[in-house]
Amino acid sequence: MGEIILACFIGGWEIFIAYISYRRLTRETKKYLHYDGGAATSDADQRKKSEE
Amino acid sequence: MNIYFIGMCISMAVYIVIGLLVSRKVKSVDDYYVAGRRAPGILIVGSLVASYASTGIFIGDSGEYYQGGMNGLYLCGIMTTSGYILGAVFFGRYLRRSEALTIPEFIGRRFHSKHVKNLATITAVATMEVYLISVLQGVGTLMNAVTGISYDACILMAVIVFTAITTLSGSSGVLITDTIMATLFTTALIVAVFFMGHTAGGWFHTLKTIAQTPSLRELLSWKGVPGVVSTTSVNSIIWGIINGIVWMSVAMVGPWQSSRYMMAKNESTVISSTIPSAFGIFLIESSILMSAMFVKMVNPDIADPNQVMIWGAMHMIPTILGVLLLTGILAAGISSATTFLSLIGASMSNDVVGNRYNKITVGRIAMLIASFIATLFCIFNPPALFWIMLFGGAIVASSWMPTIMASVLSKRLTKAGAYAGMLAGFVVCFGVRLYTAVTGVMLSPFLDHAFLGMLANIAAMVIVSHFTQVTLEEKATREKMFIMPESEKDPVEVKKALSFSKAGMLVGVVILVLLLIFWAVPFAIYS
Repeated sequence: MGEIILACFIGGWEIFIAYISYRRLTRETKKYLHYDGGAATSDADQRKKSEE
Repeated sequence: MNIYFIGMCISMAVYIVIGLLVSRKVKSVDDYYVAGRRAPGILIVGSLVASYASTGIFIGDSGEYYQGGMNGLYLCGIMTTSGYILGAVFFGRYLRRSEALTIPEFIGRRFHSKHVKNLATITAVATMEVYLISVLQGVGTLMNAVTGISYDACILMAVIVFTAITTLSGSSGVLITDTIMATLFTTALIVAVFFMGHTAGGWFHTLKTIAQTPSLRELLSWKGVPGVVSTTSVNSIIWGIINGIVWMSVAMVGPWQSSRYMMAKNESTVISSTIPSAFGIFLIESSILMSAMFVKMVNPDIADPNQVMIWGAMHMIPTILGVLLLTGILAAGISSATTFLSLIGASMSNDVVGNRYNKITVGRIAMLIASFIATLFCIFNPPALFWIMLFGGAIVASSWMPTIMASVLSKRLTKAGAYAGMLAGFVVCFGVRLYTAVTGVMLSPFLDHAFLGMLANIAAMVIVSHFTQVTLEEKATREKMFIMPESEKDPVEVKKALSFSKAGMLVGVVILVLLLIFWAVPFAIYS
């Protein structure tokens, strides 16, 4: 049983670390990218679009 | 002289030739120190894996596993891999944006402080030199044990090879040779594990035998063999977790990992390279563990634990595979040495000498001196070596990690706080390590020297920053770090980075499932 707990701790740790990294990344990139019908565009593209 | 020596010589000649070929493409300081900042993902992955793996894990870890240290050591090893993922997102991207050539330069610019930069430079150069000596000793010992050639001659051969690669071609050559070496040792190891397993009677047969033999059971049980990692089973687990946090911190900000982020072609490459690297290291560490178990099944009486992997390579697998595996382990050592040496050159030329002279020439001279010093220490083994090796260990975790993370995440950290933190971390880590080395006292795992150093670092940063002020220029520099450059806003690349980052969670699930299927559940059933 101890081995199963240890395996779950190790796997769980990796999942947790990957999750908080992913959360941080999405939060930051959302500031710069706009999702338009599923396709992502950058600030520069958005500005271009509104000028047109 | 034997076939293993011939294999090692051929591989060393190949690495030197690659170094020579790549040196022709080096045109600028950026090419030399950060591979022109355009390295593709595969080279970053190769170098991250190669920089992690050295003779230490193949020889040292296999010996510890053979003796029954799985519980603490494996836990520590796998937790370390998460440092890559965290480091890239919370630090690596900003390091790359800074366009610094070295981490001391980054931290110096962040706080507009020459003192902070100088302290970081001293710890970087001292630690890299210590690691270089340590790796060189490992390589010399390995070559001597396998080939029968004298230790001193092995040291000289290894020094010539890694010095040539690094001084001639700089980081570009190091990245390419690292990737080749990582491919060699990872492939050879994984294939060797299957052959060793076959010789030992099979994977699940080995698990069953170990689970049902009272004298062997603790090799793969959560309890481990008391006294190998720590005094009791619970202490060993605590040791594993504490050291896992410490070495995860090293992986987050250690110069030999984070310098790769400066070499990557864009931020998306920084993020995406860490996921396969983390998984690759999991496979390597797991393969080393099982190799030790298979060797234990066939030869349970190896007196010197450092001989476990060597014995397995020479007796349990086909000769050609044994040559490749041992050549691969040599490559692991040489790849680490090239990385440490290139970082010494970069720091000496960029952070110490500066722009007064040609940075490439200064770097090359510094590397030659560093190699010479390492050679002298390895061959003559002076008493001073004992004191010098105390600079190794995880000083990067205690002196750098909290400060570097806070330099990104904290609005309130001042330059005085950063300096105090780095100094406190270094002093406490070094001091506790010195105390245990001189007295022979075995402290509780909670009093691990690097862990205490990290706590001291954090305390010093908080206290000193409380009494000092963040300047406007420090504030501006920090805010500028979070502005994503236009060149990085390619939606395709950003989406790739997010996909890989999400895949990191899937990799965690895969690791969990593999551990359950191939170890924990069958072991529990057989017990």
